[in-house]
Amino acid sequence: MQFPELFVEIMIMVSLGLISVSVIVLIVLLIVDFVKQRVW
Amino acid sequence: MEHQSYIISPEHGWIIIAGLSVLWIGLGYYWGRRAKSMDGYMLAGRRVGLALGTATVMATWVTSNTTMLAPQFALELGIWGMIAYSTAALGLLLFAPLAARIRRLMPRGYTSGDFIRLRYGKPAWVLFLLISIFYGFIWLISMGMAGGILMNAIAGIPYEIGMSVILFVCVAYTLFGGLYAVIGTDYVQSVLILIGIVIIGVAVFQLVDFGTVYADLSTDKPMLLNALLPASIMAVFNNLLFGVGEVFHSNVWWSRVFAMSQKAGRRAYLIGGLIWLPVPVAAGFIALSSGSIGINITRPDMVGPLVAANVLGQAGAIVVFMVFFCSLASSLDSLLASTSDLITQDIYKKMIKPQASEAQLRKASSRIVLGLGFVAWIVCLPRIGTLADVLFFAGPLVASTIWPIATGLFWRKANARGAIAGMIAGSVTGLVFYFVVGWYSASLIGAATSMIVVVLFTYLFPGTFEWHKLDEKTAASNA
Repeated sequence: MQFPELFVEIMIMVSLGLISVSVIVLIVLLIVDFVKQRVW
Repeated sequence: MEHQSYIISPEHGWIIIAGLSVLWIGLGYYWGRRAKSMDGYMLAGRRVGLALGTATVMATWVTSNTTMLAPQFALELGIWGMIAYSTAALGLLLFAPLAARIRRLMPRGYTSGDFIRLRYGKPAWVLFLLISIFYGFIWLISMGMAGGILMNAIAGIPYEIGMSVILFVCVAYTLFGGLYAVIGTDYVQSVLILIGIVIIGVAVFQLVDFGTVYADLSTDKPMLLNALLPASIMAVFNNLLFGVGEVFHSNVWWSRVFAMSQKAGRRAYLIGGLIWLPVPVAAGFIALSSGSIGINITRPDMVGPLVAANVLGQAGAIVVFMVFFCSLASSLDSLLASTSDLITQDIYKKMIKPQASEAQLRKASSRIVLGLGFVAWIVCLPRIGTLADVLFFAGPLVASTIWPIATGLFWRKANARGAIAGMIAGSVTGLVFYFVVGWYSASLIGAATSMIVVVLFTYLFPGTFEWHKLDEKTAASNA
């Protein structure tokens, strides 16, 4: 039994999408920490 | 592979290396000025917030092994290979509740060795240090080797020189700034790594027709698409347990718990784990297209950079080069700092010089960072084995520590005899399976054996541990 092509394609696209969102999350978290003065 | 070694010219390679090296050393020096005390140098002041905490967890776990071995897993084990590598994220996710408990029980702790010593006593502590320092060193070597291999394969820079440069840069800024420098640079590195992976992944996905790749795989290597490949499915559990073992025992992760504020620790490990989860798939899938675009793979651990560079040309090679340099640096600096902490606190202070002043500890710590860098350099000089060979050998050893640590943190009855027997039995049986069956079974067997032994000993010889003993200074003042 093989993994269906669509499944593999969606898995790759979702992974790339999640990583893109992660970059934004990291930047937002830093801004929030900076504003609340709790970076360090 | 010679023609592939000059995808970017050595001159371009040197320009990137010089630019990033100056950036890391400069930032390390800048942030490292905060490190006035030993708590500052070793633990970044113990008040690291959520943003830097999350980024350092994520960046440290994205090692060069992730960006080199995830494609290798995809190349050799197919779709299950990528999924198997992703399960290592569970190490971070499962460590989140432990992080909260560790910070609560040990508000003044320094290392993972502190926990084992206070919880199980000296014999278990010595055994744990042997495993932990051995593993930390193996990881350090694999990073140094990866640096040399990468620079050689992409830019044609001789292996010995590339490896020496990456080790020197990381030693330099870790020496200047301790964990402040490590965590600060990790944030910048994690953002660059994630952006780089997205650029490469999206570009390969756009430029190579996935339908063709899938059809070629179905014809030429159907095994890679097999949903029921036994070795791959076993690799899922093996990698999962290897990942959990690595995170649970290693001082790299414990030192971050002690460095983060009380509130940030648990959430940082949760978010860091979630961010890391898709990285092996995004970094690994490009290897599946190697057959369709006709790349001759002579070294499986180089498949990722070679595909990216072949599909994207100079620009792709430069992005790959930057991603690798960042992932190498973010792991190497963490290993240097945390292994040095372990040796400084657990061996120098606890075993050799208990009355050492803060200045003496700082001096010892700096010398240990230098010493670790030098010894790693000597061992890395002869280019030995593949990365997988080097790294997975340590798998059963670290997997055998999962249960002594997890039960020791939550189960009052867990005891020293069980912890020692669990670590020895798990390591031995795991290594037997490593040599007799294969790397993909070693961690699984090591962790399973350790679990059975620890649970059995806990029921046979139940202890009555008092949790307050883990807060060493409070326990000492009450005594």
